[in-house]
Amino acid sequence: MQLNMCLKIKIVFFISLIFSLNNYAQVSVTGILLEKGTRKPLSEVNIFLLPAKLKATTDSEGKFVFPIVKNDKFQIIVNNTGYFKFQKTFSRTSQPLKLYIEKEYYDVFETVVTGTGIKKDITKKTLSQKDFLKAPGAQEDPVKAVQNLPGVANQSFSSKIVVQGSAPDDTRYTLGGHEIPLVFHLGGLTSVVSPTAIDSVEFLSAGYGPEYGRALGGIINLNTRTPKVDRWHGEAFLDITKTGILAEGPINERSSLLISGRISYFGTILKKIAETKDEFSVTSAPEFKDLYLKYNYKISKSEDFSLDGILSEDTLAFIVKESVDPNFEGNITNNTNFFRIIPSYSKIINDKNNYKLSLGYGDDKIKFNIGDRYFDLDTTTLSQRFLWENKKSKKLTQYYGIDSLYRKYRTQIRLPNVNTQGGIRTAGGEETIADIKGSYWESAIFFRNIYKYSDKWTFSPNARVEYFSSVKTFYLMPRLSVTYSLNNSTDLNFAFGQYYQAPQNGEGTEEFGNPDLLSERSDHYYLSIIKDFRGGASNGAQLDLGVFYKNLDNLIIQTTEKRSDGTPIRNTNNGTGKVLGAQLQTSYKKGAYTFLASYTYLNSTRRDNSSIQYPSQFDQTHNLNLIGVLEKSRWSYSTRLRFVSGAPYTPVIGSIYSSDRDIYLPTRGEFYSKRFENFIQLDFRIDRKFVYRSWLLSVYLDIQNITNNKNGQGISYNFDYSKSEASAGIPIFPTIGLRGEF
Amino acid sequence: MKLCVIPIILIIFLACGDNFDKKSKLAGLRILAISANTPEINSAGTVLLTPLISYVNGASANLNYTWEACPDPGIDFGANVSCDNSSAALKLSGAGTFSIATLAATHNTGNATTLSVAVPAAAFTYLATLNSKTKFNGLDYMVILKYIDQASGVNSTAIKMIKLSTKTSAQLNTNPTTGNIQFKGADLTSYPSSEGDMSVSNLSSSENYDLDTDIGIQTKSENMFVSWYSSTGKFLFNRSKFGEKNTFTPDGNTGVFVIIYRDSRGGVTSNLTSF
Repeated sequence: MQLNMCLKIKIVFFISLIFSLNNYAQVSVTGILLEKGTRKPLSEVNIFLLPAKLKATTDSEGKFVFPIVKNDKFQIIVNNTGYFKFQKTFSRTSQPLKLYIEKEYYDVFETVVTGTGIKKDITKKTLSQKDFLKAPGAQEDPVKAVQNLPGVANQSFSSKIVVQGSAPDDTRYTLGGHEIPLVFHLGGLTSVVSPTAIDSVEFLSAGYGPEYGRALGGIINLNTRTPKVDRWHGEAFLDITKTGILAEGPINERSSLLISGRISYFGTILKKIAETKDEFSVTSAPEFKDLYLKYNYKISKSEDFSLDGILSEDTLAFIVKESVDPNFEGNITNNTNFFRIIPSYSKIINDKNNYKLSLGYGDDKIKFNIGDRYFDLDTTTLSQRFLWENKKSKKLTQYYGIDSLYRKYRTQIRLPNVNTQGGIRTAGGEETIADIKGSYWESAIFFRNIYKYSDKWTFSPNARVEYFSSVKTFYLMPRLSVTYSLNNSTDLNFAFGQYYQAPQNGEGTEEFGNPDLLSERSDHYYLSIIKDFRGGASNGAQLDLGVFYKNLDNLIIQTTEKRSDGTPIRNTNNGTGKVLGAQLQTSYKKGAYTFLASYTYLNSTRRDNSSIQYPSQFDQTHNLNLIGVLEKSRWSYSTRLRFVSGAPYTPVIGSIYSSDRDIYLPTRGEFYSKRFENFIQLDFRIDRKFVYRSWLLSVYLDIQNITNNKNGQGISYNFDYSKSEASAGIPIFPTIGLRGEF
Repeated sequence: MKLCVIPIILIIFLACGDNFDKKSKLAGLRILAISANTPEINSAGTVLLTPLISYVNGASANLNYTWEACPDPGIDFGANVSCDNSSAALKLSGAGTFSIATLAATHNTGNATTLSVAVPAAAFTYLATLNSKTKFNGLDYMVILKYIDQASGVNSTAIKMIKLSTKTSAQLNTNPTTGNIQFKGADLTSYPSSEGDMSVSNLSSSENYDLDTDIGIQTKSENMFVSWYSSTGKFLFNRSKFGEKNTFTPDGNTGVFVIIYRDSRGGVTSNLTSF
């Protein structure tokens, strides 16, 4: 036994020696293949080793192994579609290799023409992050990029989106389906969530489904991104008005977090402007800050929990030493802030049933002071959404949902009464001094069916029933959409919907408005044809052509009528309106070139007290956007040409001097009987991406109104309205931005 | 080019048209103020209204004037400035002529013929039918006054509110008082030869008054302000608050200076200096 054991040891030693010598001559080469800049592991990629002519394929983590490599020096080649060819010589090493291959295009501008096939809302347009980050003239802003879509009016200075000739307050803004009070900071400067935290922006213009309500016009919904889970990522950006950071990554195997924050320095620019004016001085620069947070937790394979949190604040303070109206002189301060916390839970019960429940809670505060006058609004909002999807059969899918909102408010006000009929503001007169507390709730149940009757026909009869406590009324709102597929690439669509919107902004209160008001109503009709000419290829054309009609009833209008005791009625439901239009969106892509055109024809009219019909303030007859994009390696060039018919305005035909107030009162002419000049703007944008091994740097130059067109979309009058001139719009306005990400 | 790239909240308050003449510059036919001997009354009676007009460019012009009066139709709420829809019992009217030549010594600027407005008892009867807030705070009895140049047709219209209320006589509003226009701290005795601060001496202070509001009776303070006018030269501001100075830049060596002092609730007084 002793000898045998000794022999065994010798044999093992000998074999080990042979193998170790062999290993010295032939080593295994291991490594990982990553995308340059993003460090994303690339799986299923073939890697070649020369001259041995060996091939390895990366696994799901991007790792590869060449088990036996005999050569002292060897060459590795990676030739993967969509990436630049990688070719490099290495000396033999036992250390794992880290290979970075560079993508040909990191962000490709994508067109947004609605595709064919079954979809819930046929008018829904979705802008992905790639679309809005590179949209010319939008300064990387997701909501501004919506203006490139058909049906959206041109608004030079506005914090609201005007949809198909409806009033700005008829558009509802939501974050993950929950209402938020505003989408823009500082009257339209930028949206309230960091653009790169947003996954997509949904825009619904007409005939949308029963999940949506409380808006006569359109819906803008921001969908935020799920945090990345592969590793921690960071991002910092900077442009001439603001800066911010974003970080995201996994907390543990089940949960991940995204957090972003921005702060502006726009006020410094405004202060410089203010220094040139005697009439006002800026005491606290207009600034904003926002914070966004998203937490994701994977409870189980079929259950997910997420939490969205948003905090936004805008501040502004200045002194108006002199204004046309003495009521609006003095120290003016404004602070607008809000927050929302939106937890949501989703569960897949089985392959036929799933549901999602989400809540929204938050406060909105507006504090506005002019001298010793004030407007303080404090609201607390609780909202809830529930959606159950039930796939009854291959042909029928049903959705059931609840959409509720409760709001408690307190308004403290001491401001002069102001009337703005015809868009012309009267001088501030007697003050309203009030302290109003109250609450209201709006709750809806909705029901959607998607019934695929045949390969050709899909029907979606839907309904929403909603109760508005402010007007103490139930409303049944039928919705319908029908799709007829002519072939694989062509769909004909029809949608109808009825919408109600309760009085808002105090219109229904005794102090500011009329407690007898009813909800406003709108009926939408939409007919469209969608054609995809690409035949499955990435190059080619797409077309979306639609006509729409909206009938508006019970519109709330201002009135000069009084009750018998002399109290003003202020508002009535005597307004009606009609909106008729057509919209076209088409795109064409060929290689590195992309062209996009959107055009809207609009005829939007209003009628007050059944008197003469006049154009709506937002009736922009023609609205054309032409976009061209060229992408070449790390460079991207894009341009946008906008042509928009001048919006109507009411001329001032004279004035009467108010001796007591030292102000001229304008005499209104025929409502909206004149139009501003047509709006023509050419924007240009260059993007350059620098790709480093472990991070990316993007630089862009965005020049708005490169031809410096005056684009006057307003009128300035002298003190007694006897002289006027067009106000200048945004002049040539270059923006430079930097974004670094790892 | 004017840079108007500013948020909407600023746009509300800023006029981007700097190419216009300032309001303080006197040239054409203007009604600068209408003062009432009693800006607020609690019973029917005659109120004397004195228009302060200016027509620097209208030497020797003859003006026709008309006036009518009625309860405020609701101008703050968008109603047109008109007595057309008022009942006849509540309406008054009158007419006359005025020669600008009578104001030649003061650059065609000064007080025009005083109007006698006999506020009818029916107006107080009407007041009694209104809500308690209006009864206490007052009903505006509106006087619309219009001047027309007989030769050129140039015209100017202004309104003056006489407050009708149920307050006691001691609570009724009265006109503020003013002293002299001053330049660099001394009374203005000659046309300024250089840029300097202008002010007004002996301005009466603001008074407190009660206002019936949606949150009950509130004691408020009058918001006093001075409006500045000149036929030549330029004021930095058209208006200044109580105690604030204004800056004047002269142009030439003659002209008329006018200040009007208001209490923000109908009380008006004025001062005029001419060189």
